[in-house]
Amino acid sequence: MQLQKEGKKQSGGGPELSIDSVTRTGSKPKIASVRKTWSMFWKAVVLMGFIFPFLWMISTSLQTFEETMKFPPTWIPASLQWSNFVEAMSSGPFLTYFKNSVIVTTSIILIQLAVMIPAAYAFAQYKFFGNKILFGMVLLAFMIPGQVTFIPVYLMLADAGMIKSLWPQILPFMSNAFGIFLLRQYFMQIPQEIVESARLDNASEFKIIWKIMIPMSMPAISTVALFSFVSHWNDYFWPLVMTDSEAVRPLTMGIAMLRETEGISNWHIIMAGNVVLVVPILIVYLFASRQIVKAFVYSGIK
Amino acid sequence: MNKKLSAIVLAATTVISGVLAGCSGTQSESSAPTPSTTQPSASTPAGKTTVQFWHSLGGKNGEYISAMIKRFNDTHDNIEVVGTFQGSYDETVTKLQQSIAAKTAPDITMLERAYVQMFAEAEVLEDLTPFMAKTNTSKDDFPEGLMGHSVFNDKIVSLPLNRSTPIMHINKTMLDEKGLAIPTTWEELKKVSEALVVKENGEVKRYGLSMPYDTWYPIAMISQAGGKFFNDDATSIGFEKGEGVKAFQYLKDLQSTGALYYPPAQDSGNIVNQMFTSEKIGIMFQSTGVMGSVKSNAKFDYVTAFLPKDVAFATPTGGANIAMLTDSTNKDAAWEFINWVNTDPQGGQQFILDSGYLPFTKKMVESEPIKELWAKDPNRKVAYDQLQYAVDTNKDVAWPQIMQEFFKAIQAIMYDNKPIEPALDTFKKEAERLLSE
Amino acid sequence: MNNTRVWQKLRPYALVLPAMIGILLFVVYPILYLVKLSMFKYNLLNKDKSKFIGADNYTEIFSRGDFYNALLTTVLYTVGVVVITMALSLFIALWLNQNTRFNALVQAGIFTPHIISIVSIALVWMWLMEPNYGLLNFALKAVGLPALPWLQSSSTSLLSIIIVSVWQNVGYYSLLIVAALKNIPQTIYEAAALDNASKFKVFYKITLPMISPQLFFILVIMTIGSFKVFDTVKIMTGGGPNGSTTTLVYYIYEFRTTSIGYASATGVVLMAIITVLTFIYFRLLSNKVHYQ
Repeated sequence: MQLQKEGKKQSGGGPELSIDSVTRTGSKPKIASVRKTWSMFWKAVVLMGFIFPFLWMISTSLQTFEETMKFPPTWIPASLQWSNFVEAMSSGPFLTYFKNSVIVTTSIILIQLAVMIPAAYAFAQYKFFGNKILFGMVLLAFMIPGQVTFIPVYLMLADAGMIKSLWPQILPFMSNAFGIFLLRQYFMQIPQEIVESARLDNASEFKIIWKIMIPMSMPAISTVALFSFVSHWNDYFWPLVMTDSEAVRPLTMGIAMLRETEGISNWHIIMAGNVVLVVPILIVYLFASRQIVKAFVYSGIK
Repeated sequence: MNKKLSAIVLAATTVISGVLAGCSGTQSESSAPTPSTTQPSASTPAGKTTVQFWHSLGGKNGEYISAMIKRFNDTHDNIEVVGTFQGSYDETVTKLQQSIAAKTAPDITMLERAYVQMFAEAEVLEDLTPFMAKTNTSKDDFPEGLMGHSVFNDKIVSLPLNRSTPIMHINKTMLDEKGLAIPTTWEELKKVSEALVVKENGEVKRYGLSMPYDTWYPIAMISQAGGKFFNDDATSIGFEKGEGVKAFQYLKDLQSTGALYYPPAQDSGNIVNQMFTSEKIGIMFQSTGVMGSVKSNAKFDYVTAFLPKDVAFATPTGGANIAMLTDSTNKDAAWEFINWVNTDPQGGQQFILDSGYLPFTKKMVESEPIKELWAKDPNRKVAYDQLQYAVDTNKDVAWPQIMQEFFKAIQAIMYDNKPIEPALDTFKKEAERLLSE
Repeated sequence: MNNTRVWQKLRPYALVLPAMIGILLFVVYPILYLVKLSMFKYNLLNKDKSKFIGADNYTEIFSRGDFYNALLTTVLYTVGVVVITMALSLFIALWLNQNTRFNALVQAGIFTPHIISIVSIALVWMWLMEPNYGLLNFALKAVGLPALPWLQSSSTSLLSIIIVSVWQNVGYYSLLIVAALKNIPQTIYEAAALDNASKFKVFYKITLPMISPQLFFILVIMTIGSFKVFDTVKIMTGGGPNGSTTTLVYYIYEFRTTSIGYASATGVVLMAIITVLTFIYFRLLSNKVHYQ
């Protein structure tokens, strides 16, 4: 019932208040406000369900081992155990991990943009022989899991002598199939007249991309970049199979390995490491959630 | 509009490179955002040979082995050993296979003993005989019980390093409270574990016995029951006369009364250690390799004893060996490290004292510090003494694949209460197929 | 003049070239290599010891019980994740659709897990699902329910993993749906209101068809994504207990070193399944989807 009710109400969209007043004028305003509080309450409960695990993570990261082993659980540690962080960070070269994560993620985004924009432009603007096949290949890239293909890729990159560098974590992602797909959709929406008139002015294709396409599709581009950032900053599998030495491992690997180096029952240490991985993203999100949410939503709109 | 945009892009780039520079500030030369600059091995000073050494020791034992590597590096100006933790034994093997194929393998590696044959058969392990001759060492310098996986086709392909046997770890305080003696047979163990169980409202609060999820313990029990894991021709399993059924039935009986806690597969070793030190179980079967860390965490009278016998005392060995890879280009330097580990009191000997693994050369066994340790902590001696009953019957090139199948049988029986006999029959069929290949 | 002509013909190819190089090197080549490996009993350590065995690996796949088990697990996982996520995100989207500050806050909160590393999420949930000290069991006991073994029993492990996945992604998909809802022209609803259509009818006849392209998009993305699930399994259960969470990709991963030929053959089968699935989706559903 609730569902249909809301289904109707959402039609309000922007001027939601006016619709409410139309449908509910004269009827019992008290009940309406009770309902509203009730719905707020449930929304808060749901919100808690998604935020609480992170709060719990932070709380655990500041507890002593004994506190984590208590039942009922310790909600707030008696004294804050910052030493957990020291211990977590001393289990490996965390500065190197962090640096690797930053370098890998930034490089991927830059390379992807350079590769993806021209390709998406070509798919959007030209009908050329084989474009369907080539575009099919892009979609193929989207469907194939890396867990199936990593061994040939590893062997190939090893042949190229790259295993001890960060390239194996970067190069395989140079073509972002999802991004090409999304950008093509976006480029196709840009009015053809603008492009045509630029061509009449003898603008080069490069200039058209640089001066028209990119500026006009900034939302889509930043969406793709953001997606890339999130998925590669958080990536676990690829570094797991591509890295052989501490010097090239990213943060996620360092955290995942905490479990083995510290032992699974030392949850306070593991959570401390986890906080280190999560908090930077959470802080960024706290300040830019509106933009980020907007950017992610773009990916779904055609 | 466009200017604004490029300004933003520019600003973003600057910020990003600023971040890059900022976070690599301590490592001066790698501040440029080019990916290939982070190569520690490339930046070693000339004249110094770098030896890559992969190992599988995390936690306390990882610290001990890193300390050992550091002691070597501090005393050797011309060689730099770089130790890298690669995860569990199995994960290390995976990495090795991948990297050997790609020719990016390390110079030396820790290799779980059961995998040695598989690598040796592929001819990727260096024969250590000539190196040993040069430094006047021989097979006879090592205890025989630990050399079961070292020789392949008359070549010495690996030497013992962090070796262990499963042993019984006991919370003596807990046993004393109930007036129980340390069990030496399966029968006694059953009584003791059942007596230790504490239940509250039908919920088990304390278990008698536990052991990690591993093939090791069922294999130990099969040999104790008089069976062998593989038959002598290595064509099939060697516990068809009911030894396997007997071992698993014993475990299931204990599990059903709450006397046995069988831990979840993931991280099972850590889980049972933790339960043991926090006194949620009284007795555990576990590697000798954890004695060091258990002792430092246990707040009770902690003793060890032989695994109890059924028809005989028997124990497999475990832990890992050290091996040199054929593709290594620094073999002499690598051997210098291995030899140092074997002979220098600051090498393997100190690592053994720290960790609780078995002394792996005869010299070590006879050395003063080990003798002192044994006098002070008789638990440690128990483990070594148990080696007289060491018998490894799961040796075969196909073991790694067969192990996977055996794990499936263990899971089916221990977790999903599948009938024992059919599960072992399925395993037998798979094992025979893999052995015949 | 002729040069320009040639260039005009070649230009699109030049533009897609870098992307195609990437795809050829890191997608097409590995697939071909995989197909080749799948016909060998391959020895990764020593190539010379590899044996060509034709289709034997494929025969083996279809004669092994554990393959069907992995396939079934993957299907159960996929259906579970897709159905639950779809229903929940549709519900949440309709519920939070009004433009209020509080709704925006709740949306942002629900979305948070999506940008967090699966490593962290898996670890946090492992801690929550810890049977003895974990918070979930504490909560269950507090309301008088029996504690669950969560990841540690084959009866609940797959469900546990599904929960984690739904929890991580539901926020993202509900955002997509909210965005779709906002795109529905106001006038349609006004017309419906004039016709005095029931709310259910409005939802079923207007809302649902209008957002069907997005729902279809979500369905495809989620199905493919779920079929490829790996990280949660690797970190949280290692495929167990007793194979209860061994999904296809994890199954392949398990065999990757001991029998790489067999693993490759299974990989080829998995790719075939995903391709067929995608094809069926487009065939069956695309003509039912209402495009504006």
